[in-house]
Amino acid sequence: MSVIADYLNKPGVAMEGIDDLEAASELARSRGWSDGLPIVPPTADRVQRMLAYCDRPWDEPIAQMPPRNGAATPLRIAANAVMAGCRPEYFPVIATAIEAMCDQSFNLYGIQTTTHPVSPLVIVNGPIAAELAINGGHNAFGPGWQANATIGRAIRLVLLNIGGAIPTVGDMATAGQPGKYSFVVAENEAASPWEPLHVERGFARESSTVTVVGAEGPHNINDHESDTGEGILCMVAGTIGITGHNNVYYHSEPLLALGPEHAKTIARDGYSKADVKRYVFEHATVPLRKFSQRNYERRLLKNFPGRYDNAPPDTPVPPCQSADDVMVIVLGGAGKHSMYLPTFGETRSVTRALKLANGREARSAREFGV
Amino acid sequence: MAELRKRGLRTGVICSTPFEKLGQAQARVFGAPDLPLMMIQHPLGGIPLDDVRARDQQAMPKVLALIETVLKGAD
Repeated sequence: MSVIADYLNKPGVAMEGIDDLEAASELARSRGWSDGLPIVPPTADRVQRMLAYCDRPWDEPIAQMPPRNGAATPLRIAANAVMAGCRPEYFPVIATAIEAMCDQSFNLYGIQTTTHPVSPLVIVNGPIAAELAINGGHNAFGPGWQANATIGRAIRLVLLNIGGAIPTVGDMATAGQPGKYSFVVAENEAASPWEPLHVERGFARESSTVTVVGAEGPHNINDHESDTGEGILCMVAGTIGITGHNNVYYHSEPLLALGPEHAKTIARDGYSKADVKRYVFEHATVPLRKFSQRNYERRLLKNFPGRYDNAPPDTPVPPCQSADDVMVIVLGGAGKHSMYLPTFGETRSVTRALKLANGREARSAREFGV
Repeated sequence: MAELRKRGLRTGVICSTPFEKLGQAQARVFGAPDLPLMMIQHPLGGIPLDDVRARDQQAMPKVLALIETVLKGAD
């Protein structure tokens, strides 16, 4: 018997003898290990099968996860992935996402504990998305896809059970948002007229990557009428240019998820991805007069010393601090809809390639098999 | 504050009521489980200045008591 099997078969380590779903779910709920939904019992056998897709030591933490500073070991992550209903081959994506969101620049401490309705959104790029059937097409944010539903749920269970983001104790969200149950998509690279997110960030197209974004829920951008790229971008800018999100106050990265049909029209009319970013930065502005006096005084004046002192009421306030900070992906299926996702503001997205323990990039989940 | 307390300084945190459990949990996480939480009524933001001053009155006796423990050399 292997060392991991020895460990998992010790009394009290894995959930043995409770393979009944209702009893296991009730036990998890009673111990505070739950997102409220039923769980798959994390038996020794299931956890071991999950860890078959992990080539790192099962007991060495990948990260310390705030606010509890819990040790996110492969073993604990695997138990949560089992509970969420994941297939074992999803494990490398989950582990890479956990590692990415524990990067200091992501500010997971703030994201976990804030009153703001933010949750880590995971965007998957590269061939792993098709291999695992992670949806980036029709209804990408919606139900019906095991990979999207359960990878996102596993991450939330890790944030709860290892990170300690327990509502009212570690997670102080005023109202939260549905993406806190599960929030995973693939970019629809096949339908994009531009380079995908990971290529834009310096990875090879055949690399598989995970990008984490501290995002609010998506807001629709409906435009069935514009027949030019400029017309669609005008509607995009009008939707992003609002006062009530964090992006205007910080060095943030607002996320624009263009539907394929909108993206195609915009590209047809000669816009590169950089052009789209520049358009959004220059046009998705809010006139200073739309901010309340207190927000002007306590946020804009304070966060941007000198920029808005004695500024005229029509001074444009941009949605972020540079055009490069606007994130653009292509997402979804047929239809004239795009999405805007404001972010937590005080966070930077993090992109990581799926890598084996030896540092080499993995092209397939199967390479993690041990 | 927890870090300062671990370094030997007497510190405390003024905290509004809904954040008490978070404050207690984080004090434990950061290794200062006895970090005093001086509770005030929520909210502190978005209220008139007179109401902010009332919060000040809630917190002040607790801040003074903490200072007193420092002056007496007790904690």
